[in-house]
Amino acid sequence: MVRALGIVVVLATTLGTAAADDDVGSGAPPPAASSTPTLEAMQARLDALEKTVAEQATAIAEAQVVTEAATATPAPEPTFEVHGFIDMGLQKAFTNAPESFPSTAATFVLGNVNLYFTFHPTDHWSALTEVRFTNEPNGSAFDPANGIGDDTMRWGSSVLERAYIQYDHSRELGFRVGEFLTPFGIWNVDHGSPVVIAIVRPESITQELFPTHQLGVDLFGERTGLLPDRWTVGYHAYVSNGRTPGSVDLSNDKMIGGRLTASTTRPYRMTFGLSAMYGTYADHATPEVAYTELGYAADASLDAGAWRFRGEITVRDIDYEMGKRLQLAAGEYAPDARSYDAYLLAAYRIPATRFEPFAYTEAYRTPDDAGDLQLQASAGMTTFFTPSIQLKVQALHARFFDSSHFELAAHQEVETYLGAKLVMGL
Amino acid sequence: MRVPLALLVVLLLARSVAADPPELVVIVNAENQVKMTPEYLEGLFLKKERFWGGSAPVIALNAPPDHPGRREFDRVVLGMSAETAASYWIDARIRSGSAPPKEVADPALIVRLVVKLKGAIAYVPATTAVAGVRVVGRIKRGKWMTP
Repeated sequence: MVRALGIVVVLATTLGTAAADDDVGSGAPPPAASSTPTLEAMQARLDALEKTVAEQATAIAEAQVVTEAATATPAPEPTFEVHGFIDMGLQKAFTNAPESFPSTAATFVLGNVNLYFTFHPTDHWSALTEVRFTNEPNGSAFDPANGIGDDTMRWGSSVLERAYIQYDHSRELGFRVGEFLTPFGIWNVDHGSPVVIAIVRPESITQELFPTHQLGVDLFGERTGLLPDRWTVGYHAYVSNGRTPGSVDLSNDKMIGGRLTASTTRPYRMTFGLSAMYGTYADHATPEVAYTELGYAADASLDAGAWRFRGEITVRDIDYEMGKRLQLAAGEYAPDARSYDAYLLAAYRIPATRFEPFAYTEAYRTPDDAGDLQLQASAGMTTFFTPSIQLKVQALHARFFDSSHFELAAHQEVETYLGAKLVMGL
Repeated sequence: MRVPLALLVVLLLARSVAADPPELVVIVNAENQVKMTPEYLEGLFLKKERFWGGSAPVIALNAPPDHPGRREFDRVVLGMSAETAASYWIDARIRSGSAPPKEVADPALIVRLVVKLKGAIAYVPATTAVAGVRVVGRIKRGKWMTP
């Protein structure tokens, strides 16, 4: 307001001066000698006014910056934030063993609707909850809350993917307590559809060679300077319930596990990791099942220019207690076994385009009626509309080998999957 | 003849201006006595280092993604293109819930914020008046250098 007033005054004065100058230049009689001091006084007054306006403009700008600084002062982290990811698509399967699939028809699918709720009440403490909403198990009920209560209502469910309280002491040390994703390999923690490259998950995840989630305590951190150049050493060490038949542990034995990584950003972004876990399982069912398990895994990821490479090897040994084996069928019990899974993935972002084709191959071995060895080959492409909005398409072919079942061995099981998913990070 | 020649000169000048990456200065609060290295700076802006010396929280202030200074900073310090940086933060959010640094567009406001906030670190064009803050490094012609 003051600035505007000042500008008006300056304009009025300037116009007045200009008018006087026009008078001088338009053939009017030369001014009397006495008018020179008047002009000088006006000029001085104009200078003073201009100076005042300039000072006021500076003061106003200063006040604006200070006000903006006061209102825009960012906290270290937002106290509360909601984000997540969502994906949905279309898929079809072809197989000579359709009983293994929920549907082999072309079907639209609601993929992952995951919302994250992050709380950051203080600098060092935070909490994260990740909830997946799903239309499974697709229950049916009458809705009592609308009309007379005979409206059909389809109900789904929510899956608690993560819920923990975290303390960050420093880059080298932090811990989280609650339910967290097991820190092993690449895929399990990446897990979100905008992050992972392919649609179909590795068997190490789907068959849970490591438990994908843990309920317990996880210590973590990373340190620079232990390795040369920009290499960083990272670690996780956790104690948890491990695998349990329900939400609580029925034994005092806890799962212990950890992960060690070496990563760098130069000359390329890459990480090499080793993971391990050891735990026991016991239930109170009849017949009782109890076993010990040991898992170990190695992984590597490399981003080199337009290329992205991912690879993981996961191994799990399971050793049942005497008389407490899992019964698969009448007279048929699960053996002590070693299961392993290995995959390689390569993706190439075609320069100056939105397209990133990828190729994927996987081998999975575990005792299975359909065949102890499963081999997969797959190809697909991601189209990036933006970094967070992607269309993924994938074709996957799997074959089973080494079936010990004489009927199944006679006709080797094959599976082909075609899928497309639209993915968005929120 | 003069017009095409002038046009050529203008085009050459424009090309040389476009080819020159903006020079940036990295600033912290005047009370912050940190000795900056490019590795440490990378850790600060990737939010791996979240506390100064293990105590005061780091408040990294970024320029908006389309800002030439931001592109130069991401390229030189983080080794990332604009798109890679965007993907990095999408991934980080999904993996750990970590949010990217705050974005502030106005260099003058950034300086004011760094003056005011003890834990702040930011970068501004070298032409910006940086009174009241401590310059801990420069990014000049695509290279990190100490002040």
